[in-house]
Amino acid sequence: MSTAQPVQPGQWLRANRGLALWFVAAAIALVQGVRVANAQASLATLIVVLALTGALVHPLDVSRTRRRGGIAARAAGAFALIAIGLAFDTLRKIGIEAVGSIAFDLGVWIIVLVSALVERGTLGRLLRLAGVEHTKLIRSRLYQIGLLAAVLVTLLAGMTHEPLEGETGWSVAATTLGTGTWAAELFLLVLGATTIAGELGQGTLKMILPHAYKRSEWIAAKAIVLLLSAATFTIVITLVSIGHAAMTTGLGDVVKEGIPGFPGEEIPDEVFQTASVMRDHLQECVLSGLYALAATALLGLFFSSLFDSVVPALSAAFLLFLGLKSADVLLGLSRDVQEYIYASYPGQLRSWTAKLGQGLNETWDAAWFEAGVIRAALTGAVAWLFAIAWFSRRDLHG
Amino acid sequence: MSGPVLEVRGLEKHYGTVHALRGIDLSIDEGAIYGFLGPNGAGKTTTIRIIAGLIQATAGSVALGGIDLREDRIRAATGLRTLVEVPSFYPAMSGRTNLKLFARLAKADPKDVDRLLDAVGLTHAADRAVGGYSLGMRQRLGIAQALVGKPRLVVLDEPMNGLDPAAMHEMRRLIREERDQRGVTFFLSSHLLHDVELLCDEVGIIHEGRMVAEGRLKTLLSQAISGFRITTVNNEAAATALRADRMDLKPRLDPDGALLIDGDETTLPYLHRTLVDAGTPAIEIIPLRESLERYFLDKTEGVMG
Repeated sequence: MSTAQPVQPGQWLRANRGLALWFVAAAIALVQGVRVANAQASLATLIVVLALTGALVHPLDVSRTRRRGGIAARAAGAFALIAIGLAFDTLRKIGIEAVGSIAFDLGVWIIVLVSALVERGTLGRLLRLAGVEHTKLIRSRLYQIGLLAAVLVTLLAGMTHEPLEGETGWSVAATTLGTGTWAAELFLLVLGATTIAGELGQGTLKMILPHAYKRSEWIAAKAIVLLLSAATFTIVITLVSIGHAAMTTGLGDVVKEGIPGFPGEEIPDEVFQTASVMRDHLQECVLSGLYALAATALLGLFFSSLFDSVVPALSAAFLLFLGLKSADVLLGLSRDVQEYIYASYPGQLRSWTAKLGQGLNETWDAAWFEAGVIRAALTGAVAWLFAIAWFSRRDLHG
Repeated sequence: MSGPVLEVRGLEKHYGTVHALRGIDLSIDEGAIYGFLGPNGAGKTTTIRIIAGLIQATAGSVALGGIDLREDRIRAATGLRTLVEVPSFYPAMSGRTNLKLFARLAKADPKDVDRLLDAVGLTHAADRAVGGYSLGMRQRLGIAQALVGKPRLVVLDEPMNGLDPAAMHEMRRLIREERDQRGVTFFLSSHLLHDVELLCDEVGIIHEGRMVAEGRLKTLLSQAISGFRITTVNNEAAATALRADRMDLKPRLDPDGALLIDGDETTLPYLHRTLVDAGTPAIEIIPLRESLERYFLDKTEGVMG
């Protein structure tokens, strides 16, 4: 064993300048994501996940170095990122807004790109691995069946839906979207939970890992492909549910019929919600659903990194998923506690959209979208971080 | 010939109180075919898994092309290809698609895939799902994936498992060809001592987590004397004298009437004196060299691999 040498901070920074830059980029992106989340800026919030995970490609991977100080610094840096995000969220809530401008967004992208280029070859290796993982995924029967099942479930939910009085296409779309997302969430959980444990079980891991990549890069590639899958499932389900609603009930303004006070009187219909407002609500339902799907897949990935075979990984992931989904019934958690769980937000948003689309009086709370997205992003990022931390240390005997 | 392609120093691996490796040292020069031998449980696969980066050593270092694997895995493992134990592939994909995946990982030219499928005799089955392959076919595909691109060091764990004699012959030819034409270095573990004897230039023998012998195969076997073929002025009388000797040298006569005696270089002076004392001095003494199997058994205290 080579003797561990004390590492000076300056020396560490010089050796890891790409990593340091990436940390800065991720921190800025995280702040930016939190800042703009309530403006439905999905692209910017996606940067949170991509940049944060980009940073996490390196920090906890000990396959590169075993310097004690290095590992502690990397772990501390990763957790600091999350702390920055949470602290900023708190500041924003009490009224202190961050500087927001196009330059800010550009700055994030420039730093992400520069840091990726500085850390020589990382981007290329990551893209190559993601390409390989994507090929494996789209050729897997589980993925193909899952996608087909999600489409069928969404379509069947629409076809068998009993129209309620005053219901519009927005309500139907929100309802079928919920059913489709439920099916997609199950499949993404399975895809996530089997992604590493499955390879370990079938023995392909020992064929892949000896190649010249870091384990953290491999996990990152898996995670990117899971995020892409979440996006694919979301797009397909959304298209089916909206397409079905548009073709059957229509997606116009939500109107309340004017009820005449006496015979012959003409009372014009009242526009209760414009189509534009309903479209915005549905868009938030779709986005929050996407984030929840991504978080669920990454939770699956975390459990997959813990076990040597599929059965325990799947069992553990399902137990947690059930706990998250039915925390009130199964665990008796109060509503206050449940507000910390990402999984409950998309359902609530869809429920509001369905009621508003039905012409019912319901208050739309915009903060719920923001809170749901942030909780899902943080859950996913933490799950990813722990997956890297654990997996890069593991001895693999499968 | 540059420095060692693989250099292992003081490698240790502990699983709780079990010490699977107790300080392994080995070094392989470029272009060598190195045979790694040892009985079951000796630590061969553990060593290979550490080189492949699947498990971490408790102590010691592994350097590939002079770069420590732990210090810079990306640079060190570039050009490293492995086949650890039974090869596994994605069963729903064809052999060709599987190989293309590994070619992408290795940044290899996709044309290399067809060359290797042909080299391992799998062209006819290349587009069939790997799930339907026999063990021998998987083994051949495993060897092909280990040779894809521009490998510098290929680590093969029991590469001849599941192969029929003709396929084993083909694989030996392929390995030699890759070494001679592309300068690839091979590190292979095997239970098949005959194969190792036919294929390898160097061997290392591991037993109970320790390296008990290492060096060029020819040198090791030439150093290892298992006995002597002796012709004396009177072989019958010499045999009688040796049987009566307190050292009980157990002489036998071969079909030509020469004496056959077990022993090594330390036995020779005593043997010589005994024959002279018996009045039957030796006219000719020919040392008998060991086979690899005999040498292996000696070094591993008779534990078969």
